[in-house]
Amino acid sequence: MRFLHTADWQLGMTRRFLGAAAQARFTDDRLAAVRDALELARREGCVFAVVSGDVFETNHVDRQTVVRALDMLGAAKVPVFLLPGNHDPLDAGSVWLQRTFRERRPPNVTVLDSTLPIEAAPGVELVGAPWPTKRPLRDLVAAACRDLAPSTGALRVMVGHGCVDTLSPERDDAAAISLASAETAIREGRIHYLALGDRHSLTDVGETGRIRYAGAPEATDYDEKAPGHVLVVDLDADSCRVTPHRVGRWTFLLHEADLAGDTDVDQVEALLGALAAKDRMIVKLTLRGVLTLRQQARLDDILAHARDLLGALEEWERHTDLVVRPDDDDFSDLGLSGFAQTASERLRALAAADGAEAVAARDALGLLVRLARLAE
Amino acid sequence: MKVRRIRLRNWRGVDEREVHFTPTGVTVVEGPNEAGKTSLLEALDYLLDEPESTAKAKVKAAKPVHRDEGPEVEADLEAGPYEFTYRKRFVRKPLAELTVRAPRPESLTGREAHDRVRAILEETTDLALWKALRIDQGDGLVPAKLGSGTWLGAALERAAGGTAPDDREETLFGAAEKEYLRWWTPSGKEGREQTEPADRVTALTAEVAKLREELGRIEADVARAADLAREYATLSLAAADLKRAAAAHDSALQRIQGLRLRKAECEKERALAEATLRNAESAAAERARLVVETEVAAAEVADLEKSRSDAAPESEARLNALAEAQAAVMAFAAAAGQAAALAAVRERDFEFRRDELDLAQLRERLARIVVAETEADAAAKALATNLVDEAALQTIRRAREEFVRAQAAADAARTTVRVSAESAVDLRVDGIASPLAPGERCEVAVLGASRLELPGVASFEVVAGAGAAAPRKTLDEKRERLRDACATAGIKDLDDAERAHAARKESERVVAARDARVQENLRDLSRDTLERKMANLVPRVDAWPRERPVETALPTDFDAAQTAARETKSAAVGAAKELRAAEEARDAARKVRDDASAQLSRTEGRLGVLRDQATRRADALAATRATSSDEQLATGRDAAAAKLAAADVALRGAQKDLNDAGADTLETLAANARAVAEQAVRKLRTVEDERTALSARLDATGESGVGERLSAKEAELDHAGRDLAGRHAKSAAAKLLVETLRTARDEARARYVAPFRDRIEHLGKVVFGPSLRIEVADDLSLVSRTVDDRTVPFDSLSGGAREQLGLIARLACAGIVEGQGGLPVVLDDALGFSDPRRLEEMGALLALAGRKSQVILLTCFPDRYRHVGGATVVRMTG
Repeated sequence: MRFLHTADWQLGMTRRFLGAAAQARFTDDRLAAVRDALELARREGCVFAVVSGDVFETNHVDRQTVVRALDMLGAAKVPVFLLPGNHDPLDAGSVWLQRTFRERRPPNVTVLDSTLPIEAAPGVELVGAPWPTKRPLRDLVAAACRDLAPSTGALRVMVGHGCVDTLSPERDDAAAISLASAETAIREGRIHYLALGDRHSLTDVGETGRIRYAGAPEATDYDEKAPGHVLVVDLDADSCRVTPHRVGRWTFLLHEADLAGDTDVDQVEALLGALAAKDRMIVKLTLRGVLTLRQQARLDDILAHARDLLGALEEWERHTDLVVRPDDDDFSDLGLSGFAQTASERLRALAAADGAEAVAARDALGLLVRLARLAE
Repeated sequence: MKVRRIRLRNWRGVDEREVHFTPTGVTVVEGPNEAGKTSLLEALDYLLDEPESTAKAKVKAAKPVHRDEGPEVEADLEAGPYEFTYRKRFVRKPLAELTVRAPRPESLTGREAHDRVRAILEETTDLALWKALRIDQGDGLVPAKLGSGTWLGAALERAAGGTAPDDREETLFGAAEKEYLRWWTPSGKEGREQTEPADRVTALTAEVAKLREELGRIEADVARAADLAREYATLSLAAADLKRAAAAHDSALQRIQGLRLRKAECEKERALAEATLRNAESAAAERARLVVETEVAAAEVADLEKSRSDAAPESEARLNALAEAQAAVMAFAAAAGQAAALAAVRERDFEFRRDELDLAQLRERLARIVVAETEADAAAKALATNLVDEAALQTIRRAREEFVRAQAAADAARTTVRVSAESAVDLRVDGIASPLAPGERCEVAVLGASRLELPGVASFEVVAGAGAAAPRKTLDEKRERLRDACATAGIKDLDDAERAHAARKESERVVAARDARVQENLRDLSRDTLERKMANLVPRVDAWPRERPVETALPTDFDAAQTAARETKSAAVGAAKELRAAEEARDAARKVRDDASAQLSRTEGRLGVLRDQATRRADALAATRATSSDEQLATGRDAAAAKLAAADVALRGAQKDLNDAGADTLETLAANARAVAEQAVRKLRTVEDERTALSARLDATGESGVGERLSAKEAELDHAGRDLAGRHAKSAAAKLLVETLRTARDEARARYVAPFRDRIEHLGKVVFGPSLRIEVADDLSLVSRTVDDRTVPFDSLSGGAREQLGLIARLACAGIVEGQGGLPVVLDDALGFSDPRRLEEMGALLALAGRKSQVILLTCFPDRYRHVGGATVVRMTG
């Protein structure tokens, strides 16, 4: 039996570091990634697809987002099962209960809104562990498993959402999914696969090979590992083969560098220049060190150029991490004299200190240099 | 730069002219108008500024009018280390030649020459300042624009110990200011490049806050919905529990209801027993009362009978007293009757005498009235016949008087015949016998003719003359009139008339007095009343003497009658009084007797009643005793009391059972359980209602997409915030840069203002005295002049003073830049506004300036500069 496992679509997501055009691109691409995933399911002969939670970014997404998602789902050629996750829990304000969703839900789409087993295909049962609120106070997967009788021949796929306790940074997270009890359920044959969502990185959890995070189909942050995939799962009682397929288009890159001179600035330029698919690349540079005014001006030019090309180039706290220290070379060829010379000396004295005024003084010096060069 | 020599050829009206200038000191070039003084300066300018091939109209204008020659200029100049001769011809056969002698010889022509000279000048000379130091014709009042010269600035900087600035600084400052004005307004407020993004951030912040609030509300609703769902479940369970508890309470209450019914029956039985006892007791009491009443009635009859027999003797005595009193009354009544009868007779007597008197008076009054009426009637009759009223009397009197007067007139006119009788004669006059006794005389008046006869003796016809005829006629007429008047009045003559008139008047008086006299006697009565009174009185007066009893005599007069009446009346009153006393005594005796007899009859009546009552009671008692004896009644009462006691016991038992069952508590609990169950149901309903409302609200708000909109807005705000921060950084940098540059520039300017000002004051004191103080602006323009503590703004100074100060500033400037190689101060026709004294002082000043600088003065007034000591004077002739 083959099915598609995906999760964390988070449709309607906004990334605040994206400009308006990039955001539009990002939004379209995320929907396209999901569309591609469902097309993949058809191509690969999956009998259904499960989405392990967080289909929507929030319960309060725009109506248009819901309508577009439903339209896309309706076009899919496989049955799709959606699980309410922590972003879109099944609470009183839930997107799943809204009229638009209820009335426009295509027939191939089912919301896993209870823990009762559903026949997803002949001989295949789906058991959902939907999130009833944003903050459940128990292990929903364990609770769903507890109620299950041993399977009587049918393959049983449990669909859950949340952090597995062994990966959870919070020791006392009441909602964390107990890996041990999930593995026990698998060993006891109550379930045969646990399709998880929440973690955006593609992850195989535990020893069974049957507990997986599909990861987000499109990257959303720098710290995600192997995002942009969906899983095609071939499952029977004895074996489980999982094949990741890449559907994402966007890449997040976090780069740190120490800058001490022109060579370092050159390297930054080279790095940014070498990036592929720049318009779907989101880069965050964390630069440290000391630059002269001239180097700073050059760096600014390089970054401005990159910003025009990239999906997004995130700012860093430059004033704390990257210090601009004017040196004599910055001024030697400007031929300043008279009061201009006096002014530049005063600004340099101010820039050498700390605090907001020093920052302004460095900026003022940068401006002075720029204007002086223009005047040449 | 120094100008050593200028030579013109074919320049406007000048064929050829050459002037030498002293390199340091004053050169005065004198000459009349059109001698070519101004052409010297013009030619020098074109030589330095214009290429020889220029086609500029102003250069072409220098061509002489009447010769086809190109205007040509040649000058010896010194600039820095350079000394050179420079010649140009324009328009016709243009040429440029440069011969540099120092520092090393050079010789160039054409464009090369021009460019080389420009290069030399650029290198060595502040050309702007060179222009600024000149005063051309008519420029005297224009203030020198010295601030733009970099030479001057450099010199001043040096003077102040600084380094020399150049144009690049100003350009840089301009660029910085432009950058500043991109972010800030000229007045230092944030410009649109800052405010608009800031406004956008503010607006976005508000929008984000609003969306967060909206989302917060929705999330609160969601949380509330979850709470309500839990609460609903809890309440539903609790409601079911409460319902069960209420049912349990209900079965316990049914048992209580049975006990309560039993108790109610006991209460009914007890009430019955109580009523029976009350009846028995009431019957016994009634019997006892009846016995007592029967006894009391018998006793009352006995008592009354006894008191009646005791009162009998007293009753008889009372009857006797009454008879005696009655007898006394009879006696007094007889006496009083006699006295009263007598008093009545005497009263009538008195009335009779009074009537009699009244009648006499009335009669008298009536008689007087009749007399008055009779007299009045007679007088009225007399008036009817007496015609001599006042008018008639007067007529007669007048007729009489006229007659008398006529008679007198006739008498006077008549003929008188006097007759004296000597013996008795029987005289007859006109037939009338008029006998005369002897000695008697008579006169006969003759009017017409009279006849005197002595019968028988003689007769005499005496005829009056004619004069007597008229009076006689008058007399006859008057007589006739008198006679007529008397006849009309019915009288004889005047005397008769007088009497008749008197009688008439008396009659009138009597008639007039009639009513008064009648009224006087009638007084307050009418005639009828008076007569009626008399008619009434007459029979009474007539009757009483006949009618009165004869035992007593009629009093003789009114007074006696009055006295007798009074006395008898008094006696009658006394007798009546005694009678009344006797009557009162009798009445009292009668009352005593009546009271006693009434008492007796009441006693009799009461006795009858009491006897009846005693009989009835005795009968009734006997009758009831026949029905039930006294003993039977007592037994019945005791039985009823016992039954009541038994009912009490039963009732207490029932109440105890009820108490033991805890009825009150159970009921309270049951009622409470019901109330709680109802409350739970109500609460459940409230929760349900709120859930419905909340659900409706969430339905409405759920699709607003507020979450997605919020994150989109937050992203937008983030962008806007970062953009604004970038702008703030840039604007702050621009501000800091401009401020720092401006401060440095102002400081530098302030530094080189001081030596400039000092130099002006040093020179100016020659003209304006030792108290001169000059204020100089940062751009080296003159602000004000202070002399003897009086400060006047430069623009408010007189034309002369302004021109003088302008010149002094240039000379000061030239002195300052002398170290750089110097610039000549050229004055073309200046000081035209100065008075002779000032000219003298300015002369001294120019001489002083000339010690350091080259000063060239062009003038058409040779006298103007005669006070310039040590000046080289060049005279130009036309």
